Amino acid sequence: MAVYRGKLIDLDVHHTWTSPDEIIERLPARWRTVASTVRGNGLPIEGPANSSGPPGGGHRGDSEPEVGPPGSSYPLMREQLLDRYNMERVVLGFNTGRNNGVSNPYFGQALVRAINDWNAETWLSIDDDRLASVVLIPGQFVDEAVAEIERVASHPKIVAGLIGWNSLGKPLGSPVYHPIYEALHDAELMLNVHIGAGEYSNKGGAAMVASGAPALYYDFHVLFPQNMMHHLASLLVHGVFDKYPNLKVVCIEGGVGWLPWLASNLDANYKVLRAEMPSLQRKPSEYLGDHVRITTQPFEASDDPARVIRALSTVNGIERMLCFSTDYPHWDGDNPRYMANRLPDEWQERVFRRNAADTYHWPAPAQISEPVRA
Amino acid sequence: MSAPTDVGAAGDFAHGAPRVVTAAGREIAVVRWDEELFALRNVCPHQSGPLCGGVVPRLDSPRGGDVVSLRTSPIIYCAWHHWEFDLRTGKALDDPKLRVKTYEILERDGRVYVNV
Repeated sequence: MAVYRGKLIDLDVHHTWTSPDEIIERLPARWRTVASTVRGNGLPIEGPANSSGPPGGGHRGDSEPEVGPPGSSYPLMREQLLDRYNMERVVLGFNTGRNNGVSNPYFGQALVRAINDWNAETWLSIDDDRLASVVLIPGQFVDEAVAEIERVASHPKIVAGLIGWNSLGKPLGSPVYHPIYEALHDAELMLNVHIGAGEYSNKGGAAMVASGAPALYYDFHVLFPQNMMHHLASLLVHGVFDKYPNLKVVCIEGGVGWLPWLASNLDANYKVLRAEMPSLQRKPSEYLGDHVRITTQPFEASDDPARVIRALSTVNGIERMLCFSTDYPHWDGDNPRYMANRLPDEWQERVFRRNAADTYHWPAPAQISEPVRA
Repeated sequence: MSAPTDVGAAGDFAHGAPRVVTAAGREIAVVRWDEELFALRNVCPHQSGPLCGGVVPRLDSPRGGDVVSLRTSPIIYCAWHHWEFDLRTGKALDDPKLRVKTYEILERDGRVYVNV
C-alpha cells in the first residue's frame, strides 16, 4: 500500500479561547452578569455537559499549552498539527460547538454572537491562510440564525455554518431549518454538522444519543453516530438538496461505518415510501456523492482494515465523500499515517485533500512530495 | 553491544512521573515506580503517539473479575488515546499482539543508565 505524499486538509480541528473572559468581554453588558453568576463564577458557555467524561479530560495529554486549555494556543497547534502534518487548510470548529445549547435561549443568542466575534477577532486575524472556520449557528431562533449567517458570512475565512447542538430538537431535514439552509446557500457556505447535534434537552450532552441517557461514557462515545444517521436521512428524504442544489452537508466526527446500511435501506424503501415526499428527484443514495461529505475520524477500527473498505465500497461515490480529519486536540484523534494505512491507494489523494478542496472551493496550492506522518 | 547511555541523575526521576530521554537516537520513556526503574520506547504502537501520558497502578484482576492486588505492576498509558501497557513487559493490557520495546535500565553511583 502506497502512502499519500502531499499536503493535507483537516476538516475537524477544535480551537477555543484561553479564558472565558475573552467571551464575556464581547457580550452585551446586560449579559455579563448572567454569564458570571449562572454557575457561580463559571460560565456555562460550552453548552450542555456530558454525563461522564472521556479519558484525560477529553484531549491529548501533550496538547496542553502553558496557559489556557488545549486548542487555545495557535503556536502549539501550528507545531503539533499545521506544520507537523503539512496542512494545506484546516477548518476550526470550536471546542464543542454546543454553545448555543445553553438553557437560556436569549443568553444563547448573545453568546453565539460573542463567540463568532471572538473567532473573527482572534484566530481568523492570524496571518495564516491555512486557517478557515465556521459561523456558529445560534440554533434556538431560526430568524436570528439567518441574521447571524448573513452578518458573519462575508469573512473570507468563513466556509460553512456549524450546527453543533440541535436546539430545536427536530431532525435537520425539517422545514423549520430551511431558512438556515437558504441563508447558507445564498452565502455559498456549506452546512457542517458536528457530532453532538442531538436534540435539545436539559439532560445535557447525554441527549446526543437516543433511547435515554447513557450512564457511562463508554456507550455514549460509541453511539455518537446515532444522531448523525438520523440527520442525514432526514436531509435526504426531505429533499433539502433538491431545494438548495449547491448545498453540501459535511458530517463531522460521526464515523462512517453506518453509511452502507443507511444508504441501502433508504434506497430499498424509495419505491414505496417516496409517495410521502413526491418532490424527491432522485434515490437517496444518488445525492450522496454530490451533496454529502463525511469526515474520517473516528475511522472504524478493525484488525483487517480492508474489510471496512469493502463495506464502504458498497456506497456509490464513497471515494468522493470521505474527507480526512484529525479531531485535534481531542483524545480520540486519528493521525494521517494511521489513516493512510487504512485507505486504498486510489482514494488517498481525494480523501486527504481534493474532496475537501472541491467542497469549499479552495484552489490547489503548490504541492509537496513528502509522505504523510504519524 | 554499546555501553549503557547515561540519561541523567537519579534524583531527576521522581516516582510515577514519566521522563523522556534520548539514547542512541531513540526517545525513551523512563519511569521510576517506588524503587524500581523502567525504560520503554516512547512510541505507542497504535498511532505512534508519545507513550509518556502517565503512569498508574495496575489493578490486577482477571477480565471482569474482582481486583486481587494493587501496585504489583504499574502501567503506562499513551498521551493520545490512553492505550495502556505493562511497564515491566511492554505488553498492551488488552491486546497481546501489541508490545512496546523495553530496555535494560540501571542506577549506579547516583546516575541512571539505559542499555539500548
